[in-house]
Amino acid sequence: MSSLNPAAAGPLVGAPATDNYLTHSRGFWSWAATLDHKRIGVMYLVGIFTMFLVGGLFAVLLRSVLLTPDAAAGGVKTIVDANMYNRFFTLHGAVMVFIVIIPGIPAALGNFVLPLMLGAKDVAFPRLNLCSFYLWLIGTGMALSSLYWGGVDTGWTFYTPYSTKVGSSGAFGGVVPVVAGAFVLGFSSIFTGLNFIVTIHKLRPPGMTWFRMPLFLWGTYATAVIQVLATPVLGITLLLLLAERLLGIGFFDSELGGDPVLFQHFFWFYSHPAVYIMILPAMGVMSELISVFSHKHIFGYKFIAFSSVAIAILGFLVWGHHMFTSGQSELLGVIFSAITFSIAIPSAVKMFNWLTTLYKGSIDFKAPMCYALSFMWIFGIGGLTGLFLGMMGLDQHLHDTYFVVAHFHYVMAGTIFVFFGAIHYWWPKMTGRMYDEGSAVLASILMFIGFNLTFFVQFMMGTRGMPRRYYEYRPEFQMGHVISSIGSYVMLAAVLLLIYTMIRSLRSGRPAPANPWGAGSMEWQCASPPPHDNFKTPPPVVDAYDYESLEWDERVGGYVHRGRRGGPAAAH
Amino acid sequence: MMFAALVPTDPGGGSDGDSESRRRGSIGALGMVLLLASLSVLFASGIALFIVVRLADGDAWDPLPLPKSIWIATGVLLASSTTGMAAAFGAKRGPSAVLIGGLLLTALLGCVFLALQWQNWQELYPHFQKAEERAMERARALAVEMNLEPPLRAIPRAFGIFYMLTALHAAHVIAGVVPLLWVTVRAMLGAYRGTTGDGVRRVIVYWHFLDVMWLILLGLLAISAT
Repeated sequence: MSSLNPAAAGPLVGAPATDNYLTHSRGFWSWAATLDHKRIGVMYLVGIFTMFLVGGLFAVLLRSVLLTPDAAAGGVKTIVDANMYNRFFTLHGAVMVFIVIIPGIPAALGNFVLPLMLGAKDVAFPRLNLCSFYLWLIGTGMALSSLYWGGVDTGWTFYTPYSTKVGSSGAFGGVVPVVAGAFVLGFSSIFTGLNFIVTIHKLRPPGMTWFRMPLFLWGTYATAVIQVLATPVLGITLLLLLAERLLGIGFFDSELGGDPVLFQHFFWFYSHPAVYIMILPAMGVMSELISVFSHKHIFGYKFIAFSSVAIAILGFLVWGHHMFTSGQSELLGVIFSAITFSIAIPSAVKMFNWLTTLYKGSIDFKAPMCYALSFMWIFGIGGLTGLFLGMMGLDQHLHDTYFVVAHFHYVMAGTIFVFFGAIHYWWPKMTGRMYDEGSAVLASILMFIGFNLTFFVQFMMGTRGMPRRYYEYRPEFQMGHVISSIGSYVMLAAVLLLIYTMIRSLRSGRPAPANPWGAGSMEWQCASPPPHDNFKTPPPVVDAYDYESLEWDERVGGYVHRGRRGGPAAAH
Repeated sequence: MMFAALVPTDPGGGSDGDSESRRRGSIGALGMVLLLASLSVLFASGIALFIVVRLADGDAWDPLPLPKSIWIATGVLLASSTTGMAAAFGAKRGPSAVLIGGLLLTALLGCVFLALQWQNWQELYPHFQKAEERAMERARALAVEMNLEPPLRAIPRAFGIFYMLTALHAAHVIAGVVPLLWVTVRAMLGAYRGTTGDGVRRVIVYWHFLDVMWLILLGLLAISAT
């Protein structure tokens, strides 16, 4: 974190005050005990990105193991044995889902941006916010400590009875720390959601009605509702799982008179809405990026806003589509299938509105926009293949194959594209430095190619019967696996290039103006990086998607409001 | 510790004191509503599980004789809510004897409730052991039939859920006693002089929530005990 400080030390063009949130106070405790939402956001970002690298490392190792088929077909598995492979994919899943993607956009970027977008000084409960961050740290530490306790090989879904009985090494095994860690991470998620709901309700400035909020806030709000109302169900499910594993209470184990499908119902009642916890904030960021980099007013504001809410509500009613093959009644299956299809409607509403926003816009292919356009392609495929899986008949064939793996990576890992886009978009605001556009765009293109190389071929393997999670496979699938693994190396290269670009920008990037992209929402009205208490006086509420009143000012190297050109107001 | 963290942000600026404290009060109140909504889902999902399991087990359900002192515990908890109301009422007038006394009594009755719950669990233990033996027998017979290794331990679900739900509730009672003591100490130090006592009221609202949740749990356990 201290590496960020030099970035802010340089003189800022157009900003008379050099005192900003990074330089406001110094030393370890000024960060560790901070109540400033911006610092908490930065700490989250550093932590989450580090964990993304850990989860990604597991993924690359998995893909490397899968370069060769089974031993009988001449494959030599040199990297790790089958047991270790199981632990890798479990931790890859658990880290990416619980530790990276769920808190990713809301906790890291939402924390930084949300109060700024409202023209507020902080979130509603700053202490609770810091508490959330430490819970995230503790939960992450607990989950990772499972490696020490012998690793966990249940898959991130912790399906019973395997997770309560077999697992790894003894009664405690690696399962208990991971499950307990996920439990703690749940608290972190609930508190973040609670904070955001109250902030959006109570700290909007006078004049900012619900329908004048930037759409990112609608996305975050819908997400927060799910976080507050769905996460407790995961909490109790994990508690029961721990009680069963440690004490032998027969909730889920049929040998003890329990029912494993009951676990699946409880687990997916949270974990399906969790998919929307991951994607709704990403969709919120999308609405910002698409509009800003088309320099065109967002099309269909209310439809986008309400579609977020619709997705959040419908998301609670589709969990049963994970159990089409688990012995669920046919009637229930039909109902879940129908509701699953209906989620396509609000999702498509968003896609069409973004497309219409692009239409006749003057599109700027900056790195955030490249990530945003990538997401449209990726989410298009991910969403449409979800319809295949929502069909009860077809799902019998595709269940637990690579088709499913490819589908949820196209959706969930698609949100990582938006996460990256958002990091680039708000990077000048967070650090006060511009990154190098050329290498950032190159990284985004590499990322896009690598991603599609990795996962598109998995759709084809899946339809031909390649089961997911397998260590060994039939030789006819080798071509597909090799392509997929090469794709993962390309993505690795892209991520390394991204890190290089960002770190270099801290050292030698051009100081960022207050509004480098020509965006209309409020966070761009304060200096880059923002001062400690954001706004001395709340800024006037304007249409967040009105770009007519902005114009490029060569002297500050950014956009300013017409009429305020060159004046001191440009910085605020 | 939630409560210590539920301190609304200081908005700064020069707004006048009265409307400002009302505004902060409404921020805290909404936070409390959301916290209770979240907790309600937690308990609701536990109760849903209880109902599903109870219906599925039908006659195979091990009878669950509710100990007599569970009714005393209920009375104690209800009484503590009353003293809590008195404290919240007293909070309007700053650090009064009603406030401090009410808070202390509430916390004390909460501790008595916990002690009684501990005794209830103990009292139920012999029944639990018997039921456990029966459950082990069933599991062994099933293991022989299905040619499997018998499990090391089998706890009957009825008791498992009873212990789990009541322990979950007790954990939340503990999580209520701590902030109760916290606001008591603050009240003794004169912290609520000239305020609307929002902090105290929020803790008491939470306490009422525990009360209601306990009555629902008790009703469920009593109905399905036989």
